[in-house]
Amino acid sequence: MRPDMPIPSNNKERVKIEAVFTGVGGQGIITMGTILGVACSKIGLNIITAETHGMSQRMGMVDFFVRIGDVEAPLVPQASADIVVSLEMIEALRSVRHLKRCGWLLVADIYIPPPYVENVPSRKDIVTVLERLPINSILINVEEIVEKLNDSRVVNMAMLGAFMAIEDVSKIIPVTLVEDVVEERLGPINREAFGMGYKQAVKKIKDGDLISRCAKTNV
Amino acid sequence: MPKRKTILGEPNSIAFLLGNEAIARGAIEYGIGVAAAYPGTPSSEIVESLASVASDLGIYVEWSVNEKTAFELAYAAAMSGVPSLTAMKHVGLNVAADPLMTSAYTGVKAGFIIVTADDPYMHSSQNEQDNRWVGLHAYIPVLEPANPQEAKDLTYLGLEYSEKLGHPIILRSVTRVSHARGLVRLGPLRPPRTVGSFPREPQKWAVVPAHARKMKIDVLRRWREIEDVFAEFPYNKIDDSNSNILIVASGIGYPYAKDALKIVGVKAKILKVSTPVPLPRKLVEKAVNGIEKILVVEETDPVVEMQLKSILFDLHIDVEVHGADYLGRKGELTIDRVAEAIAKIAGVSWSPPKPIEVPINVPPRKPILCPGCPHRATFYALIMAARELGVDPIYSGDIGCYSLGIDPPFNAQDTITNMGGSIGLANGFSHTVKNRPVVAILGDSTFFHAGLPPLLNAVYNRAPMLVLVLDNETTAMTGFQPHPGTGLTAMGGKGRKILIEEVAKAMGADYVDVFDPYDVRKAIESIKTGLKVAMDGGVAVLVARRVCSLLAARLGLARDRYFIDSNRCVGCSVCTNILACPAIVIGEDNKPRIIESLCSGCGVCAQICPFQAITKRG
Ligand SMILES: Cc1ncc(C[n+]2csc(CCOP(=O)(O)OP(=O)(O)O)c2C)c(N)n1
Repeated sequence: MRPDMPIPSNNKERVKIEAVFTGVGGQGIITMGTILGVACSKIGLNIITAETHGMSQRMGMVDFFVRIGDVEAPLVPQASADIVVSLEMIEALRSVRHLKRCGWLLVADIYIPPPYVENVPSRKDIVTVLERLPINSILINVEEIVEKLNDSRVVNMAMLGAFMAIEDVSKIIPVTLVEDVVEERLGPINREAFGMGYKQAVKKIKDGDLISRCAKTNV
Repeated sequence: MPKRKTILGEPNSIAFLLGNEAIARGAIEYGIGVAAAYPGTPSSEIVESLASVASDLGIYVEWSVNEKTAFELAYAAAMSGVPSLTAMKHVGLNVAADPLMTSAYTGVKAGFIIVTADDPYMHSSQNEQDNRWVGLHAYIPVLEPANPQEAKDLTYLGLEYSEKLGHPIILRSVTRVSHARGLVRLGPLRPPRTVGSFPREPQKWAVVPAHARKMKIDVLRRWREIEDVFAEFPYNKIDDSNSNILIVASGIGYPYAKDALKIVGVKAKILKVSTPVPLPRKLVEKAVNGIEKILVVEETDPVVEMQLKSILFDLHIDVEVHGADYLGRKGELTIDRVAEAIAKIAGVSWSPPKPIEVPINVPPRKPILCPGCPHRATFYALIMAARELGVDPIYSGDIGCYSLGIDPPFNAQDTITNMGGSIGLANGFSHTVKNRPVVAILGDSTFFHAGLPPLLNAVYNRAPMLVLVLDNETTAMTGFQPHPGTGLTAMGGKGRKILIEEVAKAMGADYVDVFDPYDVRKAIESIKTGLKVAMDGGVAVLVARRVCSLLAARLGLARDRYFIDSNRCVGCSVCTNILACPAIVIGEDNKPRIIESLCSGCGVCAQICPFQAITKRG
């Protein structure tokens, strides 16, 4: 009756993805990780995530670490994230510190200035700063998706869809698998949001409609 | 979605579990019959998930009023042959320390696991204590999982070893295990054992000195036995490698060490430790063979390092040992921190990549009281009452959401030390600071947890003070657990609802009143009366009762809508500067505006606006 030994690491192709999801407490970031984790569990792909609870949830900032593949520890090393997904524009700026050079930054066009703080950069300031950084960044028009679906709670799934548009991710986790988990857990509206986020990001990448672009060669 | 399905998943299936859910699953697999806890980050989800399946399994799960009570309940279960779990955050173990210290003497009959969830870096805590010390101090062995899978497995094994050895066992988790999620292969479920028996045996359970002296001899014998048993513990292992460097990695130190070795590109032998207390001598002996340098990787204090050095000294083995000197002894481990230490001991150069610089100031985003938080309304009334009386009270604060009252505009938490400390410290201030009234501020859950003895003391010993209980009808900070004031129980049943004002009256407080903080004028008057009682040498207890606004939203309670009439508003800033509700922002025209999606409809701003510019919609 002894517990089984740990899961054998059967990730043959030594893949590794380091990602960070960020935003403001209450935006449903942990749910993004749970959906991804359940999808990975279905194909036996190693995933480990780390989250902060408690104080940070009272409208504070949230950093959620996601490590996939050939990894052991829960925290993404400094300046090493392949992908950062930010559900809020100011938090996108803060989260650049997690990103490696030429990494992907996917930003929702949601703007929540922290209350009672001076010198808060505007949307325009943020885009201007991002334009000059050595990263690949895309602004996802989530407000439009929220409006179309008439549901403000779908931001997280729209951005999970955008995350799945990065080829390194969809190569190892099938998009349709994640889509099914979204529907199974959260229903058809969220599935739709996921699909819309995915398609928008795919199109922007294909059309080269980025805020900033970085050639891998000059890493 | 149903947590319940996940945690009761099929044997041998793989589930994506939170570390704390994995601990709960491990306990279920072993067949515990009882679990009791008091909430505290990062431990709360253990008993939360057990409670959610308790009636399916037929086991007993409760939120106790504090950690000591939870500990004693689970301890007695194990005395009577029912395997049990108690769980708490690291500082909760201090509250439970009295019975804990003696539990090693009596031992137990069935498996008894004590989960302590430590919080390195203090994400959500007042200190960073490393509870593995408690194991050394109390003669209670400590297991330390590295990830969610091990969290489950070591909970199971901890219960099994506890039962075999007849001794309690501590499972030390940390934030990045309890609040990490990972793939966990589930094991088979044994039927729970819920009914015990208790033959009269005072020589075993009643620790009078004559019995205790005999027991101490037994404790020391068991302690040596445990060390030998732990040398063979299945989750301790040696990853061999052709290297004269040994990394001794305890608990979560192991995954960090594995990843860091890869990043730095160094080879080393690893001794993976799952039993940091007591550190098994025989295991150390085996691992240090042929080694010239040792790096100990563990989270927070040098608990393994100090035992290791002592063992090496006894064995006359002379090797270089590093640990806390390279890694420090504060905050969380990271791959980078461990990589730097590994590079140093291996004599290679390595430094982490530099973050990309963002050429603009990124404003901080600190946690704040939510829109409509009744605590904000109470703090506003408190500040106004003190101002109207022209006094400057000492605000003896406490731990809960209301700790956020420390920030401007309220600045009304002068001390925050430990749960119940608000009234406890007020007992002292009231005898030493004579020219200022003392206000003790604490929440409802905190009142029941640790507020009763110091309140009784204040009444008995005549320590003048105003005790302000912020009763939001839940334990909000840790995720809305019920407590005696709610009358609900962990398993969703009905208990007896206890009213704070009745308790205060029964204790003999000189003045007791209840007010609704959303009724601003009444709240101010009530607090003024309370302050006057305190200044006249009495003990006043005021209960500010209004349900938590987050909870109200979750329960879908109806709410009013408010808006600011820009024709009436003169931009005086009273609403933004003195109330500071995050649902009110200053617009481009320099006048405040209500973000309706954030507004909870409490109506407090409408009551305080000097120009009646804020009104209800419809
Ligand atoms: C000894 C101890 N146990 C548990 C905790 C975790 N904890 C922090 S605040 C709190 C309770 C807060 O509830 P309440 O007093 O009702 O205030 P609220 O957060 O609802 O405003 C708990 C359980 C702690 N800090 N110390």
